[in-house]
Amino acid sequence: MTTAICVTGLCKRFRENSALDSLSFDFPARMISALVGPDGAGKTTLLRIMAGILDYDSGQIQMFGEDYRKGFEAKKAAIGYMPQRFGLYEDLTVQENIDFFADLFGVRGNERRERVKRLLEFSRLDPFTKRLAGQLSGGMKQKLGLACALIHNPQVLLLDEPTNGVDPVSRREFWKLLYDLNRAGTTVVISSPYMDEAERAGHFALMSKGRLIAHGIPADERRNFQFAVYTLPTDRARAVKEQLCRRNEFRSVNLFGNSVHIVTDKSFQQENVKTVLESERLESASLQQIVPTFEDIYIALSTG
Amino acid sequence: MSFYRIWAIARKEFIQILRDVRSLIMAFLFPIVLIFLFSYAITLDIKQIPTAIIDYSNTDYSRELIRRFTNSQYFVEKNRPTSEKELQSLIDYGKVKVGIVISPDFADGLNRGGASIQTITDGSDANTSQSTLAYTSLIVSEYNLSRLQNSLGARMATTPIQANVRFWYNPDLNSQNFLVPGLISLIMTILGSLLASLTIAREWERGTMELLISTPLKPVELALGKLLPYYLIGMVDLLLAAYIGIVVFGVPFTGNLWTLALFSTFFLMAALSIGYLISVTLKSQQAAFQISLLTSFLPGFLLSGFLFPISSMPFVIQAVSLIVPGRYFISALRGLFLKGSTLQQLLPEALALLLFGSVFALLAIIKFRKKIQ
Repeated sequence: MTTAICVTGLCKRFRENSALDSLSFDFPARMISALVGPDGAGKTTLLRIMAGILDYDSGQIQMFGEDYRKGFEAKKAAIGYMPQRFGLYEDLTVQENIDFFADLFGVRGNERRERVKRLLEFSRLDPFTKRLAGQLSGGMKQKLGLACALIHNPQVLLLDEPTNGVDPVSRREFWKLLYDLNRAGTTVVISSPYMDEAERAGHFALMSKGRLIAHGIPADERRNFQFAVYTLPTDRARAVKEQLCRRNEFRSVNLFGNSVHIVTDKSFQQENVKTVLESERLESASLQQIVPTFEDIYIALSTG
Repeated sequence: MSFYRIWAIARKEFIQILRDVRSLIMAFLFPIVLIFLFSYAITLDIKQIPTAIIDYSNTDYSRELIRRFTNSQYFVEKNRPTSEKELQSLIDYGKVKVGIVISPDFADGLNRGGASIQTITDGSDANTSQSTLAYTSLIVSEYNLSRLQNSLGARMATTPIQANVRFWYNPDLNSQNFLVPGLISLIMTILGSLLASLTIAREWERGTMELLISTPLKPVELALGKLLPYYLIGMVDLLLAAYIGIVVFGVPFTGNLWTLALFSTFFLMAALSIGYLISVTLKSQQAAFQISLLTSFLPGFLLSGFLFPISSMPFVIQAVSLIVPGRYFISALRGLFLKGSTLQQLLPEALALLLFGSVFALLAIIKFRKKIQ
């Protein structure tokens, strides 16, 4: 597995606040990697540094083995970046925005005609080429952003919370586009505050307070999770959660719809959990051990 | 440097200006309004001053003097109050600017050789008062002369010195001839500094800069692409203003049109670079607008010699005016419009403007960093 972007000991401070605290991570080439974490975890800072638009204080960062500090401007053509805030011109039409970025990246001639046509089809924006970008829906704006970020056929695509505030249908469509791109060999790095997006990606990094708290390939990570997770279906999940939170046997107790997830150390057996439940006079017959969800992992790691 | 990228930025900027009503008004309507406003409403020649006259003397002599006042184009008799109290109220209410009081013993005094009249002016309007003073002395001395000539005969009563003042380049002392060239400079300052000061700040504010700096675009390309549309608009405004000035207001143009275009280019380079530098530094449209108003528009208005002669300013202010590009442009414009000056005669102005343009352009390009701070 080759590495597209290799981050080593990266530090970035904003005045007193440390945004990135000696972060190291390898983003594998030709895969979709998700950066997941709450607001303020440092996802945007990391993506901006990787896009070359933010200086960093110390550490090293390489793209395909070449250091960022050496002639980075020339490498910008290899990167497609989509900022968190809509970065296109709302007073320009869809077509004008695409043309503008095609010009900036020096895409011309036949190559340009074909690529614009393909991107418009792929993003399903072709009926809207004359519409002002400001009048597009949230999901369409994001697809236009993606089309503009792809106009120069970049090797690495950096997307900062592209599905934030987008309806579920558009979100699924957006991910389908990412899978298509990935199959064609593009490396994708996407950030998100949602755990389920880490599950969609082939590879993920959990960030909290400028640090990496877990990373790996999703399925492995969950099976090798250092804690055991049990689910307890109940009609009064909230009350049960409150009740169990008072116990000190568990690492954490979280609400999951109509059930409560109990996270314990691996040494703490299912029988022990049942004993605790019985002592609390709770129904324990339906207790079940499960493969941890990302949310379990995330909450356990960031609170533990 | 890629002309492709410069063109991409310029075209995008052009589309944005054309779709933004505020920019359009600033670029095209505002200059026209300014020209008509200044040329019609503001006249530096003071004429037709509203005047009240009290004639306590009420003799042929006093009536003759009053005729001389009212027949001049300077004073218009608005009122004939009966007392000084009434006169004061007229001045207080702003009905008249000047009061002339002729005392009851005017005719007697005239025969004894010691008559006087009282002229009261509203000193809160210093300009009018100044002119009143000058016009009153002129009318009174003409009256004196004619009385001398009547009593002594025209041969005996001559004034020993005749001052022959001739006004070159603007023989009628028409203030529009003086204002219109200065207005062109003012319009270009507004366009150059104010509009250009918003362009980069707008990109930061709307969040479009983040994407822009992630592309291979170079700072020089961004600057040239951004400023090219404003340069072209500036040249259109120049033609518009010059056309209105020459055709509607009859301002003469005696110089060379190409020299005018060259100077306008130099000045726009300076004005646009200053605006761009402000924009690059401040990143907020409101702050940029205020700072450029303060550093470009106000000095361009007050310290450029547009209305107020630089030579009568205190030494320190004169020194400050040396760094106001408008000063050189206005001097060149007046030369080109009224005096038929050649490029050779205007070389110092040309060099000064070029210097401003290069220094500020260089500063702006150095100052711009393709990074988020």
